[in-house]
Amino acid sequence: MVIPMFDKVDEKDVTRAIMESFSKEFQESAESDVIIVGGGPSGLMAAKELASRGVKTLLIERNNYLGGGFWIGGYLMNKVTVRVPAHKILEEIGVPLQKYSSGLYVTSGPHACSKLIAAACDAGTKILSMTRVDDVVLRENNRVAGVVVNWTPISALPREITCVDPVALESKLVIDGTGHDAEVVQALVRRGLMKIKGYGAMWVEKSEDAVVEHTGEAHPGLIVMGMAVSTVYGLPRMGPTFGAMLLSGKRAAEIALDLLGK
Amino acid sequence: MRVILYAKPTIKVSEVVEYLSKKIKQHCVEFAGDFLEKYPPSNIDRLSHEIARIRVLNPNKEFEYNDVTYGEIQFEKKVLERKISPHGILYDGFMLQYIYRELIPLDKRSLEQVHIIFTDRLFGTFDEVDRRYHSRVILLGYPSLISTTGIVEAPAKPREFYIQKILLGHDPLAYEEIKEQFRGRFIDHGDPRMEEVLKGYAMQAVFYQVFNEAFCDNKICRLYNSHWQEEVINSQFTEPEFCKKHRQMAKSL
Repeated sequence: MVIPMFDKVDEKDVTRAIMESFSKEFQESAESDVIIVGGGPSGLMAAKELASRGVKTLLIERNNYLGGGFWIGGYLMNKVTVRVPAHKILEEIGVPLQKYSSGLYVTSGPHACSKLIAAACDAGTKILSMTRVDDVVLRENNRVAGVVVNWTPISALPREITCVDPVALESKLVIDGTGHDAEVVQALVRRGLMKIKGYGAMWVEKSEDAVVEHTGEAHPGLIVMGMAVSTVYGLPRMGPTFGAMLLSGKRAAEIALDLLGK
Repeated sequence: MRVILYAKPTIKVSEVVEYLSKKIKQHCVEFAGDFLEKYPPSNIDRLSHEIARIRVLNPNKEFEYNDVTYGEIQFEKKVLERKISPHGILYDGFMLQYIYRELIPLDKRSLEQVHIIFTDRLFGTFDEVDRRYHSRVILLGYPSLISTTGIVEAPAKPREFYIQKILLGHDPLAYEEIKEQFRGRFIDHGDPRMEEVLKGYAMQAVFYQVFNEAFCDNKICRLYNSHWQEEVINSQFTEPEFCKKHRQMAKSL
């Protein structure tokens, strides 16, 4: 006789466990303090910072995994580099770093990314994956007050065979961390409420600083961070500089805390 | 005549003030601190909007007012409040000069006063010949503007630097490595030689207003209009300071 390793659980129990816990969390997430769109390094960083300060934070990611491009470095090699002072952020969350040269640190992409995801989750961030932002919720004076979302696979289906309405999630602030696509910003552009400048090519020197320093409220209720910043303001396009993404996420969280009066 | 220098606290100019005070005997030299503290705008939101409008978004196109966004105004406001620096932005120099001029009260706008503003904003002017913007270190006029960012960005670095840059692409990390290779052959951000270079450009502004003559063709003269970083270093750090003609003129200052 084989002694069962696991307790006996019926299929219906598994289904109910998933449904009930998701439903409870989704219902609570219908209204948040901050919705962060995009779960790359800047999104995770902002989520960690906000949730750890007691801000009710919902992170929306279109893929079934978090981390964006933070898992790997250049040429698909799983080493990522960060420049001083961004290394401090990784040190704080317990990522082992190696000093490569003056001002430059190298670490394992999978280690850094998984630690950052864990830090955001541990801080209390709620996560909605496989979800795309279709539109924004607007209030008085066109202030952004939430997002309209749908399942990611819906957007891949031809419109002729699907008609699945989205749902709306409200928040006091929305942060766009969707990279060069700037998806939340684009929703405002489609409505004629915002203009974007595209990529610029002025000067490469200080381009990382420019992204961090332009991180901020780009429209009432909407903060822009990470590479979305360069799309919105026409800043010089950068290479894979994770340090700037981490610092931009941190800056976005600071601005959100300020706007929330915390 | 009074020579009045302005700079916010992050830009070191104490040695420049001392240098001009020694060189200029006939006129009064004074440091007036941050220009915007001396002549604060009546409406900071409006000034933020005006500055956001003069960003150059396409360096290959003649100046036209930028259709500003909410975020750009917020950014400029933070720059004016000294919370952040205007990194990565190119402004139209003549329009920036106009904005500063308008902030100077009418009773202070005498030609008996030489206003020199040191700024970390990068500005450029549109060249009618090659139909594109060129970033500048100095914009002479009323007031004269001198850009610390321009000292790094405007005069070209050694030719080999750009060849390396093309080969390695726009990755900022690679850019840092190239900079390291050419260290010393150009003035960099935070360079200890920056203040020495500012002295020469400040003298150009003074010569312009006092003698209506700014630049010199002699490459060793501090008044030489350098287009290359190596020329900046050569003209600002080698003796004699000025060519014979400008040395004589400097004596009458």
